[in-house]
Amino acid sequence: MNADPASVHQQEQVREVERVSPQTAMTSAPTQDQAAPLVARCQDGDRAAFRTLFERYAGRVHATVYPLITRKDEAEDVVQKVFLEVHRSIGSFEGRSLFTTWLTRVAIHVARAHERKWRLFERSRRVPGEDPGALVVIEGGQAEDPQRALLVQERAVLARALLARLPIKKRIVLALAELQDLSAVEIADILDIPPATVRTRLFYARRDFERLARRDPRATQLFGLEEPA
Amino acid sequence: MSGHLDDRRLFEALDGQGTAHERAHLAACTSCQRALAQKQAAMQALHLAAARPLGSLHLRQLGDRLLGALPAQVSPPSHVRWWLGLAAAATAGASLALLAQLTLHKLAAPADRSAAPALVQHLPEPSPAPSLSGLPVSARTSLDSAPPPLPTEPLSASAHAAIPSPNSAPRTPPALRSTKDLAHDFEELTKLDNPAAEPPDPSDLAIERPATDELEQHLAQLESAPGDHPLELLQTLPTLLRVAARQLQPQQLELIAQRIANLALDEPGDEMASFLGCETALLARRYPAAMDLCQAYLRRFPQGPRARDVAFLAASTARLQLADCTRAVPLYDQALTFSGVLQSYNDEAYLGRALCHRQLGDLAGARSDLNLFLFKYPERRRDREVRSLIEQLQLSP
Repeated sequence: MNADPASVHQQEQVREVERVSPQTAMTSAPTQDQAAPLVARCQDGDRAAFRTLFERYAGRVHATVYPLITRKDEAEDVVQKVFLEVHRSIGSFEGRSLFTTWLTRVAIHVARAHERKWRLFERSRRVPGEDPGALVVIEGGQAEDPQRALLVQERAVLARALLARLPIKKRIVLALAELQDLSAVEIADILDIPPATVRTRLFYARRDFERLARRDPRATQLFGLEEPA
Repeated sequence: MSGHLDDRRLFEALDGQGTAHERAHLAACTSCQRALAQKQAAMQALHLAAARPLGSLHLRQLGDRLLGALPAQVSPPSHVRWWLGLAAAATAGASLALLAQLTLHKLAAPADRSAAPALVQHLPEPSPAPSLSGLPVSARTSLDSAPPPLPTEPLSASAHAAIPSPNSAPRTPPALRSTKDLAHDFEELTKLDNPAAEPPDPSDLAIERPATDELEQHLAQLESAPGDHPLELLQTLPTLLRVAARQLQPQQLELIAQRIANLALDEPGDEMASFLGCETALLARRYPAAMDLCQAYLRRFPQGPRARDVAFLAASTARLQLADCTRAVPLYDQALTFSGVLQSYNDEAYLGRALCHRQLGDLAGARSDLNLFLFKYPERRRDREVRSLIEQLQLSP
């Protein structure tokens, strides 16, 4: 009996995840794509199924795109754009990867496009001599007056601002590895790059984030870091 | 060589990896322990950048908006699209060939064939051999049965056509109003604010003249069936009122608004009726009453399908008609709470909120909204005005 190539690929993928990262495999890798029936209904034009798909995965998409974009209040726009894109392209999803892998890929693609557009815009609006990394100001009134903001909010704003200073490629692997707890293999599958490249990129991303934080006086104060020697 | 662990080894140690030798060194070396603690603190700080989970109610609202914006059909898979493209190209090619053939025959047609119907006489004689176009004869004969051109109707008929007969269709829930409708409402709202600025176009009047009659007829139908208003009639009421409002005097409008209020549309729990109460009052320029009705809607149906639309209309009314920015800002906030990509009027909402922020002395808030406007809607008609405002604000202390 011939097995479905898509399911064979998925099983191989799961085995690889289990081999490299047993802990992650236990918690997140299903033995088959649980979204498959829902996706099939969406592909048949079932709007109720698409609604269910949205409600099931919007949180995941939000968690993915949120660290990748500079303006946090744009996150919901990006989530909607992602699902508009999913709706447009779901007919071409053939089940060669897990649906969540494909969805994350779409989310990253849309978030990157959005971020690129924002960066271009922000660059065109920047006052000469202004610190290009002073993204905290963009977060709105709360950050302009830290005394008014709660400490937790201020720390979160600062963490996002530091993250936003990293190049988008590093930001993506850092967000997927640290904030989504995905393994190098899973990230490699999403980004379509070798796992070794993911590990290398992740190392540089972590190192750069740490350096940025330690060079920022507010970050050293708020996060208990030491300035580099 | 110092023997201390480098950054890469330290991050690996943070992940619980590394050789026994490295672990032993780490256990003994305070310098490496300190470096490891710094990395751990940095990664903990990074976790603060994670998103907060979306609430289920929030998700439902986002879903509502998203579904409203989706096209009816899912795009077919790419391999299917390829075949569809080929089929479409073949059909188009065949049609062109047929057209060319018809044209050639027309040029060569003898004068005495004029007795036949126009399209038929241009067709070649039926032949068992495939024609140049490759189309079957049935395709050609379909030209004979092509529908005749639509008769030219007076323009006013389009307004009539939008009004369903009360007996024509079963009572079905009305569709949500499109963002285009709302944008139109907003346009009308600002136009009504200053009717002298734009004299009515005579051709517009030609379209609108029957609207007052139609409105009267419509109201009479609604008044004749108290307590059992067909939703179709209710739904078209604001459209009719909007069109008729430009021809009516304020006193006439006030009378009509009163008649609409007497219809007791605000039956408890009827979200649609509550919405209409707000909208008709707005169109009748009863602004203080409209604000109360709109805010009543928002209190009763804060998650209603039209909550954002009502919030936007109420915010615009508060700012433009009542000059009450304190009231307008939270309404703009509500209108902009869920996403900006799917609503055509959000640019106006950002601009309106920015102007209110400025008026209330919140220059940072105004700058933020204006920058958002430019970012999201760089091609909109008012972007020059917005740039000028930003320049003014940057000069402000």
